[in-house]
Amino acid sequence: MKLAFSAVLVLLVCLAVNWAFARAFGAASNWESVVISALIIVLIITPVAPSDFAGDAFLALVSAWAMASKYMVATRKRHLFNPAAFGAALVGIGLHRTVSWWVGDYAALLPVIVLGGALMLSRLRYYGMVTAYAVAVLAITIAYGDFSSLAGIERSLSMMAIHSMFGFFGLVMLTEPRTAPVGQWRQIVYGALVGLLFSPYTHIGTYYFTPEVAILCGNLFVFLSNKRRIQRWVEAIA
Amino acid sequence: MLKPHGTHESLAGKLLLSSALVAVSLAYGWWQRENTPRPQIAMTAPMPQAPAPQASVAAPTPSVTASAAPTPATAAALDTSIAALPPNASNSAAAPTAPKSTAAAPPQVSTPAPAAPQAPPQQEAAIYLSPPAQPLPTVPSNDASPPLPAATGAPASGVVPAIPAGTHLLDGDFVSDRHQLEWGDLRVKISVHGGLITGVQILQYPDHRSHSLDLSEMAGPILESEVIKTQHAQVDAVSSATDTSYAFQDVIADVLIKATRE
Repeated sequence: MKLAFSAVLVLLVCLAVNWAFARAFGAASNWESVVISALIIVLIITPVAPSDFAGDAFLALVSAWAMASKYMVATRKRHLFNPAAFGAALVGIGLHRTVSWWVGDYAALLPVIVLGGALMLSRLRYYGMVTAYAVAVLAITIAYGDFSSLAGIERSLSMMAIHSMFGFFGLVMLTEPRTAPVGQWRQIVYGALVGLLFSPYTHIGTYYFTPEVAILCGNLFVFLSNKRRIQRWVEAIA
Repeated sequence: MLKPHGTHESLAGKLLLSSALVAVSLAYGWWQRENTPRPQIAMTAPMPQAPAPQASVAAPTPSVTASAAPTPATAAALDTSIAALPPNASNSAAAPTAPKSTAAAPPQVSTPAPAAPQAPPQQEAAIYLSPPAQPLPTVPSNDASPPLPAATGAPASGVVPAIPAGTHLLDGDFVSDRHQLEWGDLRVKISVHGGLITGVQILQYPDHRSHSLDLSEMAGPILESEVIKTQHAQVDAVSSATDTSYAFQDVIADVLIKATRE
């Protein structure tokens, strides 16, 4: 019930906001992209009940900002940041809430998610990027995890594989084609960077990265490492 | 995704729409800050109702602590004696701050901290021992997280403690070892009076991520009061904080072994 409500709420907000911004910005609206972004938001935010006003508002604002970011934070009609991650990070920081991998509590849903992600990966062919991401995350987990006993290994791996959004994040969010870099080596660096920041052990001072902030940092890296894109952006502003 | 299709761009529309979204977000953020709504907590077990606030009283020792080393067989009688305490026998000094989650407010019928002669047998426990009417102790190491408010109180009336027959809990405060989890460390202190767990405090909880912190703060008070209510480590997991709950069970089981004597 909660899941159905959340899905409908997110989808309606995404479609409405995307339609409005597309008209204002004179851009064509791609409903498939909207649906994919909405699905991602539903999967990374714990479903809420209609009576949970705070949860409803959080979900609606994340959806609205996700769609708005495609137009407001864009260079030459191309968005900079992963929409779902941008919405979740911005609203989450403002409202002191974060995304959660609630799917990890429902083992039956995991094969569907992994299968869907694997199909997307086989279409997009970002193998190097996803491998670099996975290696970075696993390397840090092995370095810092409890691998002193079999139980510790089992726990560390199950936490990473099932109870974190490691798989979904790498297969679905990381591979968003509009924000992914071009070129094999840049893709590998992008994947490794996001994997490094995705790890729960990575922090700067007392700040620990969240998955959505990790991918935003990766998106920023992609933009800043593309001289031609920056040059065209500066020309457009000038 | 954004393909120009020849339609005109409206600068006024862009500004209006963007400003409206910003304004709505700020307005909601301000409203939420003013009203400080709490996240909805789903539990798998009903919580005890918190009694009406009672004034702090310096120290009349409740009858439960006067019982000399009660055995589990006397638990029902102890429950009765706790329930029958006069209102002024309650003492809120052991919980100087209110729990962050109002839904998880534990019963405030509590016993005072143990007297000095009942010092726990372990050096580690002695470090965290707090005298009555003092703020609860904190972990003196590099622990960056403030301890959660302690849950103190008596077991719910009618609850049979699940302590194995033939074993007793030593009176005093006992601190668990530091359990290293994926998202941070977990450390717990329990207070035992009259052979019953009367106080549970999470001294350190997983906080590697803000989400871990949120879950710990949400689940901590519930788990603490559940241990007091059920008197054993196998408390029901809190929804959305399953891993934290399981880890908490392990840590409580660990510290109960420390507090157990044959």
